[in-house]
Amino acid sequence: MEAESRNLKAETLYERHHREVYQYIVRAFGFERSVVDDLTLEVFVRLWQSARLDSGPIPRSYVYIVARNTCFQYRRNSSRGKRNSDLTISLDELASYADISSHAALTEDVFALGQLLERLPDREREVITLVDGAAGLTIEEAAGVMAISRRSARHLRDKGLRRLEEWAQQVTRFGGLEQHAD
Amino acid sequence: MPIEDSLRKMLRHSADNSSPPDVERFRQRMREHPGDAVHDYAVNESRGWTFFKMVAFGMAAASAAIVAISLFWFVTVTYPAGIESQRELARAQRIGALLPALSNESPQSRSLALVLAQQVDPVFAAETAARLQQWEASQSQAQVAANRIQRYSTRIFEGLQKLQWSRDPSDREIAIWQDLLPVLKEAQRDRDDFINVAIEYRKVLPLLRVNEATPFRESYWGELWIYNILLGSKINPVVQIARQTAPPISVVQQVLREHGDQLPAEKRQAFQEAVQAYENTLKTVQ
Repeated sequence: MEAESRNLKAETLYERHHREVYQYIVRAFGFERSVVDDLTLEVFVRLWQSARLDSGPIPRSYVYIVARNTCFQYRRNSSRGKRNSDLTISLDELASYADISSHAALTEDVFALGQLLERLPDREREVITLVDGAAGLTIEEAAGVMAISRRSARHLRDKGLRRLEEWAQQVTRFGGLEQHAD
Repeated sequence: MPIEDSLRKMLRHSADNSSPPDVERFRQRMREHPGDAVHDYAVNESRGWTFFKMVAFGMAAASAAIVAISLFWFVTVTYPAGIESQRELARAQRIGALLPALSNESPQSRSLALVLAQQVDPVFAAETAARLQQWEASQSQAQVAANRIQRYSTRIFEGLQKLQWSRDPSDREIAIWQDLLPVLKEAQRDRDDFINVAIEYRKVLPLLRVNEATPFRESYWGELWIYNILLGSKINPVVQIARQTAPPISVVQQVLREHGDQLPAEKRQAFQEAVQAYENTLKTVQ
């Protein structure tokens, strides 16, 4: 009876958060799709096994802490921590694929913006994904998930947004630039 | 549209269009796991690992502190002390080479050595120059004094020899009446001569026998006159020594009473005059 109740709670939790967690893992860690599928399921299995499930509703930030730890553990175990730049295309290619004619067009181009986001350093990309992504966490919650101070989280997000803005302008103006993301 | 809004829109849109595993796959995954295992997955690290990390961090911090303290000690104490001692050694070596020239009798050599010493160590050179000046002054003073007592020195020396070494009773009388007392009286004519001679007479005072009169010699009141003159000389070191060895007036009067009657009238009177003068001098000195 108790097991059924736990299963039900876990399924409810899964229904509520699986899309945003999936999105978080894709954006923040850049794993392959099959891995992301597996990790998303693993996160909720862990939540299902978690003692917190019995002590009332699980906070959203807790879900992300578990997701983050799961991803880091996977990265450690698999030793396949690919750098962000390996997974992304160059700004030159981006400009040619996107056929960009204006800044406004680029910022509304989902594909191009996604590529720029992938070029950001890990921590900047992660905080932006947590705050501006489907998770919609506050800065405080994102800082709690990433185990950093609120000030650092805000600084990282502002820095990431500035970079994105800058790159968007460069790509728009020249239709392609050499890579200098880092 | 600001990039922030575009980004938010893009991420939401992307989330909506993503295709995560459906709930059925999640149920399947749950069935594959044993349902009774309960963990806290929010804790990323085991306690053992955390403890190990804390110990390692503590040891690293302690090592860093020790290194920093050692470095600070070396920079502030050991290294400057080493440098200072090396400097001191080099200075001592250079000064050491100049020492023979500095103690040379030739003033030219000394001046040259002083100039060189000034290049090596100005403080040492200044101090040495002052000392050398003092030494030269005392040397010249000694030279002047030696010149002054030159004409008395033979008689003083002869008198001293007789008092010190001769066993002949008449030699003592000759030493007092012909050498030492006449020299002292003669020197009294010139104050500068007298000072130098009186200083020289510090050697004579211990050889005089005025505290006892056995056997009685006619040199007794001559020795008393020497005491008279030296006690009244007002030359501090001489007066000091004379006061320490001078007999009390009662002793001298006793000698006069015992032996005065045996002397001829002329000599007795001279003895009495000497005792009287001695008494007056003692009163003045005291």
